[in-house]
Amino acid sequence: MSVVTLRMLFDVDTAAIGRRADGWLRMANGIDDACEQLIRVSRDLEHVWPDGPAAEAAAARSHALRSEASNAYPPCRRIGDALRLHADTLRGLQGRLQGLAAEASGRGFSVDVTTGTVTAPARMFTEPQIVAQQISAYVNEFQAILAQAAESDASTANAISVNLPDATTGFGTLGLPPVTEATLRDQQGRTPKEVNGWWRTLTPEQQEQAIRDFPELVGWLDGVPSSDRDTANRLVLTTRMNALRGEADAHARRLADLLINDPRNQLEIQRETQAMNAAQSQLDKLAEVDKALSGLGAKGLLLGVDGSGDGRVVIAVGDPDTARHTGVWVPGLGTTMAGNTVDNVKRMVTVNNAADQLTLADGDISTVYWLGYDAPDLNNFSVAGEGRSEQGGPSYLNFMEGVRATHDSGPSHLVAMGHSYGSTVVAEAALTGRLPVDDIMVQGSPGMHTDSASHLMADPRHVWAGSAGNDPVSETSNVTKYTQFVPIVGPFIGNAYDDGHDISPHEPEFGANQYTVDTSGHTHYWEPNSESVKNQGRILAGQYSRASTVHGSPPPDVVP
Amino acid sequence: METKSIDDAKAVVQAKAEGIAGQIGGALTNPALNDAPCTGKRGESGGDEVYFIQGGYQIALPAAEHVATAAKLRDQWKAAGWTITDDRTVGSAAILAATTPDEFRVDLESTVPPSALALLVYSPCYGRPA
Repeated sequence: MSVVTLRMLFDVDTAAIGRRADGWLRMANGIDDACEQLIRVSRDLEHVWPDGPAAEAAAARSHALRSEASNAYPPCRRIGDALRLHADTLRGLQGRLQGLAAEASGRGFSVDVTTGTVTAPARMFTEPQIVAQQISAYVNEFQAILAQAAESDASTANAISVNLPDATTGFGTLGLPPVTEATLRDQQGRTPKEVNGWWRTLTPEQQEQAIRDFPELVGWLDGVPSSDRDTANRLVLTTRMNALRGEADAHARRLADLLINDPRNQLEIQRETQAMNAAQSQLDKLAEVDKALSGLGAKGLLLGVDGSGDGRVVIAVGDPDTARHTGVWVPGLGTTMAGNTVDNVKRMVTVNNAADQLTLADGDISTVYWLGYDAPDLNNFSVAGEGRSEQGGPSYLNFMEGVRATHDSGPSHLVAMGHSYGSTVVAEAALTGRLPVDDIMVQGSPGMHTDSASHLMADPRHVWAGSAGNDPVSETSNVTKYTQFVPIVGPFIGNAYDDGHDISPHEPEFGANQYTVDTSGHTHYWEPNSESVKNQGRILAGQYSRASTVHGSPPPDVVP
Repeated sequence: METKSIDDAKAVVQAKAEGIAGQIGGALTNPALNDAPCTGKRGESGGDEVYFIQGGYQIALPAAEHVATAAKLRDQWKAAGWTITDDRTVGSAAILAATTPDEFRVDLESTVPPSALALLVYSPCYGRPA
């Protein structure tokens, strides 16, 4: 290995190293895709051709091929990651070196990058000891930079050499051990970044096996790439719907049998009727998710589905792992899987279209419908309290950290979005100080559990609130104006509402930008061609200067 | 309310968009024509029977020409009796919106990066033929 010199570090083309990293990572992704395809098309070979020596030989060869191809993926990705890190490290060191050399030159020293020496002209030697100390300080700093460059060079070279295939055995045909349920459950306690790092160490064969054997666990695991979560969750959805259809049919048949042959057995008839209705009700909930996905076609990704209770579901319009701009929207009061999935996904399509129309690149916008919490019900007072948002906030935070962790290389603009009570879930995540977003944008918010936008984002110019003039929910800060005239209980109700969520974020004293809304009421913020939707699209696309505002001071636009 | 098939309504929107592209002197690219239910002022849905068409397009145009082009269109649209509902210049980006006497709504806005104008045309609500 050659010695790293100042000249080499000055001249190194870090962009070229970055391009090589991209090449290796593209190849890794290509191997991953090819392996997934290979596994899918060859998985059933042993079932359709089970007997005989030829079948056994074909199965063995197929298994070996799957393993060999899968084993090529992790080393390829590790080399790409190592080169990416090396390019970034050298770019930083190069910048420090150039800055230091410029500073030394500015102070009258001469820096010879070929020999690595620093000299001073004779006129500076009026105080030789000080000059010598300065020269020594510069040389030491140059040497420290060179040492870091050499360390990066050595570790990158090592990463390449240990990950190259063996000259005789290649990457080997032995499959790695399958992923166990315990291993997957252990991942649930780790950060999405750690989960992502672990997932990337798996071979495509292991990933495919984990998805196939434990789709419920993989489907909700933040840090797993969107395309893999989508595969897992669609498997959950299909399997569960088929099972529920079978259950409903079985109960219907049993019921018909009872009605014909044992009509006086009312207890059993009632039991079968309830069981049939329960299965059908579950099926209806999941059918709503299926319908929403069908409407999206190839743009739809199912990032979470759980039919228990009111249901939890996460659907992306456009892939957040590759999008330049991603918004993740939390719905509010009374939202259920059965009642609102199709309509809320349509809202995400509307906002997606508004932003996508402004941008030229294909697939650079993703809008995600996130019902990963139990939204307050319409039939009790849960909407007035913070309990549901305190439960939802950590899940939302984890999901957003996952979006950051799984995003492919390149810049990413991430926006937290929430409507109504959903804005309080966003607030709970933001108030931790760890929500990794560039903007927060809410509509019809009753309050965000703080009295200042600066508590949500370090730069409050990146907090945006929209409110229709006659939205009764975002006017809750002033609700006492209306309730004070209600005898006896009026002031109590008003105070309970106001104290529940704090000041509404569109109020000027909150310190956020209030974007213009021209729609009416609490649920019309997504009317096509409304200024409300256009402004949401502009903010999501980072074109803040184009958003029309009632008050506030928008930050500089996101550079395309 | 006028009754029209979705295909006929899309053709009307397409013709409106082509007219605007002609005024700009460019060609329509990335067309996306979709139908959606109309909603009333209180959000009530017209169901599948009442719908509108949204047409989205892009028209390639050098960034330096956006503002002047929007100003020219504004004058032409006004002369044609259209009502201008938004008319702004933000940096080098142009934003122009209008409603037409036959109740179409039209949006024009510079893309990012600004190598084209994004055009959106919304039809009025139509009833589906029986």
